[in-house]
Amino acid sequence: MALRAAEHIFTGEKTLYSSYDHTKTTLGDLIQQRSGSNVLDNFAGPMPIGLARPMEASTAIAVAYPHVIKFSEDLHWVFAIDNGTAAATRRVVLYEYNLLTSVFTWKGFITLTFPTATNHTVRGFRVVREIYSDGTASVDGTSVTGTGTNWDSSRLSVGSRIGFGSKDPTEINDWYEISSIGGDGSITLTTNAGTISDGPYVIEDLMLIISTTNATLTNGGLFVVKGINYNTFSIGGTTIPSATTVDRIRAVYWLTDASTLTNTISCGAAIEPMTSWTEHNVYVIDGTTTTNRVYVYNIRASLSLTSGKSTNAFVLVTGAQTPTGTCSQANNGRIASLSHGPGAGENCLYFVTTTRVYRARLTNITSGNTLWQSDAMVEVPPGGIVTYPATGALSSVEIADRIDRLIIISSGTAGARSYVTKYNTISDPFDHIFLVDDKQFDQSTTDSNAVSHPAISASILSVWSEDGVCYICRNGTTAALNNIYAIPLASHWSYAGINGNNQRLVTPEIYTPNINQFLRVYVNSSKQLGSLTMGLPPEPYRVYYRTSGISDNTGLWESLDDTGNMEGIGSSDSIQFMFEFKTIGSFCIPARIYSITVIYEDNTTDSHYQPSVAHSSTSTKVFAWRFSTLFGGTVPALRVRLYDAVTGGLILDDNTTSSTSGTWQKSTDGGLNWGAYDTADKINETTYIRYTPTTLGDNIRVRALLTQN
Amino acid sequence: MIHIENGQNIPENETLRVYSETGDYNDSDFIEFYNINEPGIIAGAFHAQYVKYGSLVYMFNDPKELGEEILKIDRESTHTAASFVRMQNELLIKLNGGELEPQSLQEVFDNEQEIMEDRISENEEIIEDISNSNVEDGLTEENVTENTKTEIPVEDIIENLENVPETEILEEKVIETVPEIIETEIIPEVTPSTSLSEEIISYARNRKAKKIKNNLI
Repeated sequence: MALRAAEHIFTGEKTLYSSYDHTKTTLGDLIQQRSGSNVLDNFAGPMPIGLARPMEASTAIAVAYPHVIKFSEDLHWVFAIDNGTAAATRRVVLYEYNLLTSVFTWKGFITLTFPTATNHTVRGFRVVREIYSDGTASVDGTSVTGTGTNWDSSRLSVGSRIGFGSKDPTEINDWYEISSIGGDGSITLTTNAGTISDGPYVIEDLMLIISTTNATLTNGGLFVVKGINYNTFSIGGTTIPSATTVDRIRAVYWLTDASTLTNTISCGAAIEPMTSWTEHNVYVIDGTTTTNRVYVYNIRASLSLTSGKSTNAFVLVTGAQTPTGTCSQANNGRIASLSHGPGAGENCLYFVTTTRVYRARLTNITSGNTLWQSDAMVEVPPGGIVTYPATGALSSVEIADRIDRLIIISSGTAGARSYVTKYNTISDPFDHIFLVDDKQFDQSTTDSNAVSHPAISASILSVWSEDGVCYICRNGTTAALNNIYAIPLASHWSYAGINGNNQRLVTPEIYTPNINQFLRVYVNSSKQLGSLTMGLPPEPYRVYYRTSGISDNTGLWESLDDTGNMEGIGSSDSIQFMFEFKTIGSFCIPARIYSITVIYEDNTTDSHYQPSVAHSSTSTKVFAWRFSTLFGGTVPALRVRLYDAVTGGLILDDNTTSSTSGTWQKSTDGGLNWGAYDTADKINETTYIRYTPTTLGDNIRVRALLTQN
Repeated sequence: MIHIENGQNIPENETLRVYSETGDYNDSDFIEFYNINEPGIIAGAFHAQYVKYGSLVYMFNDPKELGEEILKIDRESTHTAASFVRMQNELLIKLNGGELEPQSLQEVFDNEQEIMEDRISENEEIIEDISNSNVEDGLTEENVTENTKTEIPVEDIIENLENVPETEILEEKVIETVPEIIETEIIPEVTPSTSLSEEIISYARNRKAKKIKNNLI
């Protein structure tokens, strides 16, 4: 038999997992097949890392606390807030992140004028985007008339944007800004929209939620920005005024718990899913130690304002309950309903102290309750503290809902690493530890041979996970240290195949005709990105195969080890391979696969022998071959199979080791003399072997196949 | 100090006009505004510096950079950052001309204070010549001159707001600290959470003390 190779290069047609096609390369939505002019630009693997440089934008703004909103399957909006020296104003920037190209595009910024003009330090930053599309709407110039709409009673804001013709924002081509809301069925636009007949429409309600502490203690607290939209963010910056007495316009509103604020030591703000257009709660953790408590505000409450300030949104405050450790003030607190752990299936507030991750069941967050904390998880690194020391520097927690895990970020002090893990209260070690402090800068002047990756650089990190993409911000204040990275966290191999995540790379069906047996698989992939000096290795991957259930995607996958050995695997006329990738690692640089090749033996005559017509005989039913190529040693066991050439059926199967169905013979003088068969290697060009079956029927067209056993 | 007039346009907002009384305001004092489409309603408030110069004032992290940009468009600006840059430039001129003396810093401060006061006075004179309000849409009808104040306490200007930022008067700061700077070689650090005015003053102090020290060594 001959050795054959079947290869697949990742440059062909592709499809998403949801549209599986066994003739194409199949990709999870975080897995991509990229192409480019350079041969090394043509690869498949998890999406490459994206990088933003906020301090190198046209207006340099050091940012922190990214909050990401998925606008479409391929486009994310990335918001982040001013992290510079405390001031009376704070700026919010907006990037668009294109998942297909891994490119951040700076849209612009807005400047917030707080109702208190003393210096604010941001402790929590969140963004809320809700879509209103009830009923239908028609337009005549700047006048919009609604049918079945409740625009006013739903407390939508002036300054929001509205689009017509669809309820899906991604299908809107022309957006218009709302200049006034006259009632539940009446809106006025800032610009003329012409005449649009009654039909579907969509309003984007965008709000910013900011909790601060202030140089004057009682001037901080919770602030919301209403009446903004995507286009408010501009290159030159749009300044948002402080509110005074009017609600639901483009302004910054101060939501306080009392005429003299007591919510003065904010640690962060966590947002509960919206209950209704008139109820949407935000939970502000307050106090770092002995006064740790939670304030709850309804950000959609109707406000009665004095100088931009209102107590109408305040719902309740718990009593104080001292946690173990010091509660972080770095955007601390997230609400989630995990599918595991003691909080499975219920909305809980997760937050961190320096040494613990806390959980508080939302139903326990009640007025004056001093037992509002439910339980806590101790920091136990993977492998235990005998493998990695506990950092004692936990800074914030984020929810990676695609993989049902927590992302726990440390302060980065002394290069402290971060984690991804389940929530548990039994002191089980965390699942993953990731990121390293290699001090590499990722500014535009960095050597192009270096590879961008989220280095800790002894900095506080802040993080948001959106639809499987983890956005990591290094909260520096210089161009060298302030960056935002986007990594495909949810494509990590531990979670690639669970709960419909499907973050795998699958080859098309690869055909292996006339196969006798599989031998080995070889993968061509990137060993290092960047230069020899500054390059870094990508994270590893693992390979699987299947030989059945290919056409309908039902076949189970079997893993292959790093040797790629496939001997012993049952032969099949086709095979398919699948890759899973590690993305939660030290550098988080995803692997790049260029091609995969499977080596197999086919069922043609062994290449060391040639069929001999001269010494074969149909009358005596003898089958002979010339020994044409040296083995270079002892001849291995040979196998002969006789097939009915018409039907393909196997007539006889015998071998030289334990021959039971015929006789093997050998000649070294061109067939003049035949002796007993032996395993000596070829000695001359007149060496022949032959096989004579003990019995063989007549009038059969026979195909004889000589292979190694 | 920034001079704001009742009824003036709000930059970058075609339909907004100043509602607050004409007067001189600190950079971060709130200036209330209304929409010409709803003139009876105070819609919000911006800082005085924004009303004067627009979003330019929020595009720079460094007070020096901000001051330089402001001076490009308003050579006679009374914005704190512009004032700081003028003082710094004045000191540099003296330094480069070999005229820097121990009392130079005080002189520059005094001179700048006079400039600021003069410009405030000029604005007041202009206002006194106006017999009627210049508001386009008739929101304020009283004689503007009646609202003119030569020395307007900060608290009066923003009397409707609960939280009044305490602004330190420039000259008091200078009198207290300049002699110490000249005599000592210790340069105090700028405190991150101080107001812009304090930062500018401290920054100027540090820069000049360093140059003086270097010259004296």
